Amino acid sequence: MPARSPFESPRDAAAADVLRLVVAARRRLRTVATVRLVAIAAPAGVAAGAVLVTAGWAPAETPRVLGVLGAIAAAAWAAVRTPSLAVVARMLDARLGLRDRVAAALQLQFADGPIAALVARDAAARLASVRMTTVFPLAMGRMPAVAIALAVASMAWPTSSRVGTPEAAPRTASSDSGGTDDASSRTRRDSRRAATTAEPRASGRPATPQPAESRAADDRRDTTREAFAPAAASDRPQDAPPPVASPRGAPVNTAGTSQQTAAAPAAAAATGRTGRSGAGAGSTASGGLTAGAGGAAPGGVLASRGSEPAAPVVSGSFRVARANAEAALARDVIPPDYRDHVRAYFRALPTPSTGAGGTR
Amino acid sequence: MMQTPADIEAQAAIFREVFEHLRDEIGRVFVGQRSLVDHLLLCFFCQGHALIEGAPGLGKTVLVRTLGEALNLSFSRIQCTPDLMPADVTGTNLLAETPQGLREFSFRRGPIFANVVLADEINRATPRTQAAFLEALQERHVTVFGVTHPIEEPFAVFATQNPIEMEGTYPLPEAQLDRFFFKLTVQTPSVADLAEILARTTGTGAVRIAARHGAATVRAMTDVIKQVAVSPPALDRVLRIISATHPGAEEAPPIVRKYVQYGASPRAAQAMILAGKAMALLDGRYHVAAEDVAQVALPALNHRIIRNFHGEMEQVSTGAIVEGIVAATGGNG
Repeated sequence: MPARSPFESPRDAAAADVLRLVVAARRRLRTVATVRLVAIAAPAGVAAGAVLVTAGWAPAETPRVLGVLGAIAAAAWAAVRTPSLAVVARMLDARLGLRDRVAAALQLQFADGPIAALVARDAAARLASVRMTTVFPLAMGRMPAVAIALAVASMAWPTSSRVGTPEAAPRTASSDSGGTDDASSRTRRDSRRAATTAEPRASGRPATPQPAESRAADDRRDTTREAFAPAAASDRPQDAPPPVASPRGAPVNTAGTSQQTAAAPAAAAATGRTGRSGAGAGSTASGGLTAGAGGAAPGGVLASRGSEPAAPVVSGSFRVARANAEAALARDVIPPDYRDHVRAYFRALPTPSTGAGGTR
Repeated sequence: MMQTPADIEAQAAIFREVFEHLRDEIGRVFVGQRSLVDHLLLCFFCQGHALIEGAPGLGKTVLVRTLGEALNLSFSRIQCTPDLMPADVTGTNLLAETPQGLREFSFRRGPIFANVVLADEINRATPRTQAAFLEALQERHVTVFGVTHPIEEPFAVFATQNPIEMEGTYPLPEAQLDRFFFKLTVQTPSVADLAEILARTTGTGAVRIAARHGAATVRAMTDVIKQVAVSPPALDRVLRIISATHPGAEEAPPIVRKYVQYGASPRAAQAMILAGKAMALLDGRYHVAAEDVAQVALPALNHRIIRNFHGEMEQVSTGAIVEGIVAATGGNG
């Protein structure tokens, strides 16, 4: 009968167990890395695609394509960068406080001798009750959350600006600057229109032509707004009274008081009381009354969204302007430049027959 | 004969039992300083030699003698003085008359032929006598008149030196220092330890050391220690630590670059690995972990790092340098 080897099954079984557990740990590490990287790369790709689409540099499918590509690249990267078994063994030792038991067992897995058997047995016993999901939890960290938030924000921004008030922000800016940048506002308007018409074309879908009436209405609105925009310092008539400080500290153009009182309701009527026009009128009024007031509310007229009526005005500058206007009306004195403003306003209003500004 | 895992486990258990026994017996006559005792025992079971540094009266001789007594080993003490001759250490040939009436030279063994040798104040011996220790320390045999006389295993030399009285001494050269496995420092006892020492030594009762085991057991323990495996992280740690002791190495921390002239030799790495193996067995493991080698880095490197002029002038201790190296290569944990 052949002599039994002193290094039989215990060592082999234990060494095999250790190897199996280290392989499982490596697989778990790869899964965690893949999920984490995909959670970063896919939203980042979507965000980048959304930015490209918004800028008009890429077709509408770009976010989806970049998201998928990011996920594939992340998975490939995680697969390539998966640590070796020796490194995984060291990580297990470090996380479980095993004092290099797993690393030593892995190194001695093919060695003969009693020490190798003892080392493997010791490591296998320590690893027997270990759950890899506990040792290497699916900790995502902050980066995936940031990437997802970025993607959501980049996807939501163009949507909200399309649905809500796309011109609100730039218009407010231009009105804040005095409404003198007519050329640049036209350029922006043209580029937006080009982008909206180019987007479906580039995406392969048949481009939906913008109705002529709608385009004309846009033009009319813009023209009205530009005509009704408050005069900048350079545009102010020489005989206009100097601005005075408003109760909030912002300078109040006393010359613009009657403009606000007369223009706001008229503008609302002229623009059909849409959400867009409401915002436009509000910003115009704010620009006319309080120089540098950002947005509609501080200026006096709150811009309403959709078809809601404008909110009541509570600003001090509005009260001052209104009092001045009422005083002027009571005295039956209207400055000539105000007449010019009113005349210009009505001239800019569209007439049903011509579709453009008529003369009254 | 091929050993089985059960054999190794049994020997490891004996090793732990012997170590505990020695620790207890030494503790009966040598109060406190657990770390010093442990390192001394590690050094002995790894069959290395230790250089023990400490002020007079701190119990260095008692410590070493107790080790020999507790293990039932032969012990000899050599008091080194400037007039100590090499033959006084190694032994010499004497003309003697045989029973047949003939006269012939016979070798008379010196005190170096013992299992545990205490070379007291070795730095008071002349360089010539110090050199006589070299062969015995490293080769574990003595050659007299062309004849080699092996020294019986286990064999360990514990040399002491006094760091205070440097007048009329011959500091050990680096080559000789490197032959010591560990350099251990005996600290001044704390007040509580001092009270315990007084209570034990000024009364009438004498402590009797229980002698157990013997040379064969120690040899078996040494063989078991050498079989312990070294894990890759531990080996990596040793290599990084040794490399970091050299001021020109990339891994060298700033304290080494600034204050070290020469780094540790490969003997330091051997000492760290061997002592790490013994520590692993004591911990119930059969492989050396990185923490084991980090814990023995100080006694293994203490005497192998040569400071430069700046280090000596600024009184930067080699202990501080070793701590810096260990911290720079991953800490003690």
